[in-house]
Amino acid sequence: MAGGCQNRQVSPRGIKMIRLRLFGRCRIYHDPVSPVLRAPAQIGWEAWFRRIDLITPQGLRGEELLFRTRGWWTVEPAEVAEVVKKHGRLVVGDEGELMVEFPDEKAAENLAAALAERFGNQVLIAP
Amino acid sequence: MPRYEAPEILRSETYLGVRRNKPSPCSTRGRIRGTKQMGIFQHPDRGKGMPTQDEWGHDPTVQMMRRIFSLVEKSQKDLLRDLKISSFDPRLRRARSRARDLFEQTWPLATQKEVVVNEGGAALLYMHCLSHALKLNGIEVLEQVWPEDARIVRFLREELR
Repeated sequence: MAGGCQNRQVSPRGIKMIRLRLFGRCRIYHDPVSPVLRAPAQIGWEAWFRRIDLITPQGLRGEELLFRTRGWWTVEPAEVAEVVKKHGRLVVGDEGELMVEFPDEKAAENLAAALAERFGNQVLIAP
Repeated sequence: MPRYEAPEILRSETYLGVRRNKPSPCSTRGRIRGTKQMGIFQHPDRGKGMPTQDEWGHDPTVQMMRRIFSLVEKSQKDLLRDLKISSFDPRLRRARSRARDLFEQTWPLATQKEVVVNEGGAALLYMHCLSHALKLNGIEVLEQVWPEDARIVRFLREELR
């Protein structure tokens, strides 16, 4: 079967990794949906004795983005994270996508099987 | 208690068009926000945890959309299996994205022109959009693997001109 090459990313250590998006089912329509971080959170500051004008844009880490699906997916994200972390690393993609990073395609297949075993067809990985 | 906005899919014009039983585009942004049903979009951390029951299942429009999405998903899965395409094939991302855009663009028109008259028709239209998008991404969809519907092909050709 074809597949693989364009999902690949080079990690900071120079190792080629595979990234796939993580989808859960929408609680309303039951179709696969995945969160996307469209813009970083704007964090400002307030102090007791001075004003602070600084605003620091802050992205989310993969697991933080996954946890934002709580109440939107049909499954509990904490349980999803628990399964995912055994097989890959939760990351936020270049375009803000919620992704899982794997060392190879075998690990991706193992996660797909583990997700199916634990959640049926409620959680999917796809390009 | 702060309320979150409904997911984009609920607010998108196509789906709202279907909800209101008329073709999009129609501006209904925010119309269904704040209904009793939308209570599930309250901040989950402040609530009583994940609700276990299906609060939306009684809505006939939601039931219809679920049936359509389910049909589409099954057809897509069968097609990819027949084409021997891995579900991890990176070309699928662009193809699915293009197919979705095309489907959202053409579905209301197809309904208006009665090219699509039921749920099965909507799924079939999506499959044509996907087939078109797969071809654009270098994946050949042979007639023997997935036969096209002449009426939908004609309709899409007109719309894509």
